[in-house]
Amino acid sequence: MRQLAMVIDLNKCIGCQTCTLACKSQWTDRGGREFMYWNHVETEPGKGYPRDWKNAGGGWEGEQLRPGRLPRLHEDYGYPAEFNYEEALFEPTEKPLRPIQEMQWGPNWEEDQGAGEFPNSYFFYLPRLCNHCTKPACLAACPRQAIYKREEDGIVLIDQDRCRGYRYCVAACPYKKIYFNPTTGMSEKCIFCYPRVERGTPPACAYQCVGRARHVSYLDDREGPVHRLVNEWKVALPLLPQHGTQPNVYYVPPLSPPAFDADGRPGDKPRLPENYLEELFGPGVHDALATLEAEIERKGRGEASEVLDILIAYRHGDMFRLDRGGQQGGQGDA
Amino acid sequence: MLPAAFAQDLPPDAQALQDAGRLSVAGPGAPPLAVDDPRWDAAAAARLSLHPQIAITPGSEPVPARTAELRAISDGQSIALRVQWQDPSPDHSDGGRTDHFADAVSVQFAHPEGDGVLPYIGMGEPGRPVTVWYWQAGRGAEHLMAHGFGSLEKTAGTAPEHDARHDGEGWTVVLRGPLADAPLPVALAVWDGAANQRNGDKRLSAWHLVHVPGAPVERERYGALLAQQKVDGDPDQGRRLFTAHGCIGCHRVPGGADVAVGPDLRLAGAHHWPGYLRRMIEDPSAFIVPGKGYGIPGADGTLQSLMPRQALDAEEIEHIIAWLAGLGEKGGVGK
Repeated sequence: MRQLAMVIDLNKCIGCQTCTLACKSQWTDRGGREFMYWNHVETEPGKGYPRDWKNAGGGWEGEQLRPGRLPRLHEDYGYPAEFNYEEALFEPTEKPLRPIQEMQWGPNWEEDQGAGEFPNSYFFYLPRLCNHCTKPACLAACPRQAIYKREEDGIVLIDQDRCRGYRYCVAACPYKKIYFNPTTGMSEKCIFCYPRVERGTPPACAYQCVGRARHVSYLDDREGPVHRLVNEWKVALPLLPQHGTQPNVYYVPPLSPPAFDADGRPGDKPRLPENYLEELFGPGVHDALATLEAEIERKGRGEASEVLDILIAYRHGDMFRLDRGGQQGGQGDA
Repeated sequence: MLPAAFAQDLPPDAQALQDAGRLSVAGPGAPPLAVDDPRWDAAAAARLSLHPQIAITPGSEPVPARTAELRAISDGQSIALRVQWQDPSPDHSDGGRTDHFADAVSVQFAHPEGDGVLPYIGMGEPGRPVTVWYWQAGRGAEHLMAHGFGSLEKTAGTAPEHDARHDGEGWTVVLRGPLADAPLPVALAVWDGAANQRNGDKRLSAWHLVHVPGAPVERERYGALLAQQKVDGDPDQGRRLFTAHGCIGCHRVPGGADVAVGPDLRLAGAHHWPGYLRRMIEDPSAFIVPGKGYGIPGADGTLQSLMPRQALDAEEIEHIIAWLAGLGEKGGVGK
């Protein structure tokens, strides 16, 4: 099986949600999907979306599926608010345009909140989508074989003709990236834009990223950016690998400036606590950060750095290699 | 009252060995759709025991059975089935929640053609398909087909018409569609949304026959059905043989250890006809519940049951069946 994979450089993500909107306008703007964000960007540290997903169970414990719970529509996902358009725009009133019911939660609810005390407060943006895992817990949890992983690119899909809305997959996904559509009664998720991929066009979230933060290529394509970042340079790591699903979205971990010491001077510890980053990205995060720092320094001295050149992405088209049997992808240039 | 057309085929003491073993008779006439149509009062009610599905995961624990009342009215062309069961909290799939499950009922139909053998109660078997009318509160009815666990799919068949009402204590649901077979083997299942029930986590009955007056009955088929409900053994001897032959090492039974190598048999009699139990003991590989690790590939690549054929003679098999058929409380047919 081949695996198409993505690398997201967290040092380049500016939290603009262009990826989120590219996805939403393409796939989830109607039909019971209004609350769904197959791709979204959340602020770390935080409860995320759906709320508290990191503590909602799922994933593997050895060869056993770990139990998980189902997120609630209003409390955990948050539902798009209705606004008082009629009143505010067409009636003689001074009332401003506001949501009719006060919202309690939603995607991006805690934007830029982060953690830590000034001057050592910190946060970073974490874009999330289905990880198209090599060992998908969702697939294993479905009693109807409604979920399958494609031989040609490893994309994990839910067959809408077979799904009966049991939601074992939603509980089993440790990333809570499967959404039950209460209108259709079936579960849905990111499809890695397979209709685009089949034409050699990258997924919309990656292609529209204004920060050039997302690379897409096959893991076994030695010329591709993903292979080079993940396997050769080892600067891109899976999220929460301890869940055992072997995710195929990889993250270049965030660097941070030094924390200030008690005298208000930059100290020798990074602002983002390393043990916290290790919880998110596994033990490989220390070497990855060290490599990045060393390569940035090298580049700063005016020397060549292959890995930084890949991450800088001078040419937009170089970030994507989706050629399937000679077909060239990534039409975008400069 | 059994129709004279085949009453002669029944022994005079044709006692039901379990709730599903006895015929109920559909009322005559144009099948009504409304749950409160007065004609339902005149139709005979079969009270079927619904036990939790505990044999195969995902299931639940054995809890006291609930009763569903089944009434049927048919004109020989189409049939209306009215199911009533207790469920004080009505749970609809209302589009407003992602963590909530809806109440549902299904009527499963067997089509015992050829040898007249009824399929496995849990969604049928390869080669012995079942059709299912499935109704879910808030979502309506579907026409489905299955030939084993995990194989349920929507079919070209027309969805049954439906009407439903919740009266504060429980549901009354009418499903109406074409009549396929007579006597009609049906099995009921209900799901309680409040208990997050879906999939195999449900309560279900055994096969139950509904006779439709005026609909032709094949004598051989009726004979085959009769043979499947017949059992002629001594339960006490059966219990001893079940232990002596090591069955108890793999199947959970009342008073036995918590084992799950094979299906849990604590409610065997409430869900299976004696004929099914006989078939499985005589030839364990005749049907293997798929996807649960009960089968291992044999030399020729076909799945073989983990369960070996036992050195049991016909009489001993009957004793074991007599014991298993008594596990689980029964329902009955009444007015």
